[in-house]
Amino acid sequence: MPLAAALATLAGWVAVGRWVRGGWTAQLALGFAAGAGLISLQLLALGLAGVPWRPAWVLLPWTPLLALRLKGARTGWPRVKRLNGVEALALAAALAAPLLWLPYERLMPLSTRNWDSWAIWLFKAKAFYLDGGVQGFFGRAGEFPFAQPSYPLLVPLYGTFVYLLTGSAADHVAKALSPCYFFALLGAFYWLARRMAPRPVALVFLAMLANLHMVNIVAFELAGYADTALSVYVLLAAGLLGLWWKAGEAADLALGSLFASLAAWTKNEGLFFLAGAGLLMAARLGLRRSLDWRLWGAALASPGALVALRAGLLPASDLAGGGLNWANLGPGLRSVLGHAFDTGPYNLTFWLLAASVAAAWKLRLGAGWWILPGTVLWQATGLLGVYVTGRNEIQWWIGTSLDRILAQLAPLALLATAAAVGAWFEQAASASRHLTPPRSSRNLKAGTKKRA
Amino acid sequence: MKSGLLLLGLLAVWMALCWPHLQEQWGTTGRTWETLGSLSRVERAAAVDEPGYRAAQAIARGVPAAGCVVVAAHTGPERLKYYQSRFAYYLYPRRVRLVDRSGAAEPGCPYLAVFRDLAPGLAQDPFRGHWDERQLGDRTASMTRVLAADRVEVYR
Repeated sequence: MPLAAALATLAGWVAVGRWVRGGWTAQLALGFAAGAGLISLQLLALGLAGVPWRPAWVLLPWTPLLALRLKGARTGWPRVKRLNGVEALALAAALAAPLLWLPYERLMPLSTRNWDSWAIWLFKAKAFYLDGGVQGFFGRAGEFPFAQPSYPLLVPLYGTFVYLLTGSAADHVAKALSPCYFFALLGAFYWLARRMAPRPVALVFLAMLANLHMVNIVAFELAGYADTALSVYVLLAAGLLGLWWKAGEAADLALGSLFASLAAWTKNEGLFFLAGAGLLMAARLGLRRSLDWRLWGAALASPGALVALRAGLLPASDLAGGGLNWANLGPGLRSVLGHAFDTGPYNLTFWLLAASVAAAWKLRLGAGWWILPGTVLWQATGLLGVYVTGRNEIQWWIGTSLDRILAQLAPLALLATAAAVGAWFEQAASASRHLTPPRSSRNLKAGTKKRA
Repeated sequence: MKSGLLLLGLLAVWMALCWPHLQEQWGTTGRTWETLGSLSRVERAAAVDEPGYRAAQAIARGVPAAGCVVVAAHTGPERLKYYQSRFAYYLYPRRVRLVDRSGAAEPGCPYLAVFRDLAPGLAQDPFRGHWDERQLGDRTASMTRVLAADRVEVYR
């Protein structure tokens, strides 16, 4: 797995690194997230084209691209920044839960608790690996209704890549993809938080995310599930689209669009998310009356390709289609709220989100910020929609899905809060600067120059 | 300064709420290390999935990869669903069909595996299928026994 993660990170760095304006943490996190997704798509393309799945064939196209990328890359060791007391404490606290969970995850084989890992995600990874392609499994999909043949294939195909490198279907290796995504989640979160808030705020919220119980459970106890991967893509896409809305940088739009598409390639919740992201991008470009084909291309190329791929390859989902059952809405809503505001699994995440919504209203934060809680609300609404239209028994469904779905959204909720806290500190600092009378005209001049 | 204290306070409250979970995980990781730390990967898999893992490994030894096997499983209906997906995972690409009837057969499927669940599993999820040991004995007597392992026999 370390080799698979390193190769995915390199591939991702080659593909998106030039648009990532951040240090080595961001390059590693976004590189892994993008690389795992792109390698899964590459395996699919090779499989459908009948090219044998050998590590050399998978890695070959990346080699010249890597050489080209290295040519223009900065060299030298990453700089380690000096941290103040609060920052150092926050960084130390961020290590607590991962250090307790990681040895446990590495020791545990796939057990009865990892149902979806072996029944859905890693089952397909193993089948694809042993068959040497995707057609064999889909030709027999009727035999495996429990394997949910309509689910998207990022995690299974990345698992296949891990097996190709390992040389066997070693599921204890493949299930490490969840901890890898967890660390990518932390890196991506810090990068986004740092772009929205000062460093102490970003580090404190990073520590809070790293120790969030349900996020830890999903990443380490339920290793091999696709939920942590989806968290990364949803966080990155929503965060980047929020930043694009605020600052209008095309690189943020292109990356946001790519990660939203990879969310749809990871889980069905990601498809609903992609629909929301697509509406958001089209609305922004429409409001600006932009006719720039490059912006429209950046916004719509990867979502369009992903939707077409899903429609062409995967069987239709059988999750919905039981007709509307509005009686499910009440229990569903009560459960969503009851679980979200339970401090056991989610600590104060959703309480702080509610407080930050009120604060953002008072601070008059822009639409770029509102995209973050808006995405949480959008996804929760989608979940309720599934409960209302789905055909499963509601209590069973809530019991098997709700906690994981809230865990997917918790990082985004914390990012929204971190951004609101950052904006609050900035406004308070700015107000105190305005209130402090200048000592002399020379100081005033200097202060003015500094602010400019 | 004020913002630093505020952040420290928030982190302290957060970590205080996390503390029971961290403590619990400390204990769980320690216990897991004690029970599984000295075992090989195969032994660990068998320890957390008893008797499914060993039974599936035995069937894998008896049935070729391109083969098809009907598993007559003496287990409850819920555990039957569990074993169906578990055996399909362990035994892929073999075709595996689990049934809780001792007389079940499938055309074109030459292998029969007889699997008996553990008593605690049966106590938790009682058997509700159809099982006739005499009929099963008569049936397997006309077949070749490929292998016998703990809780599972494979015939052809």
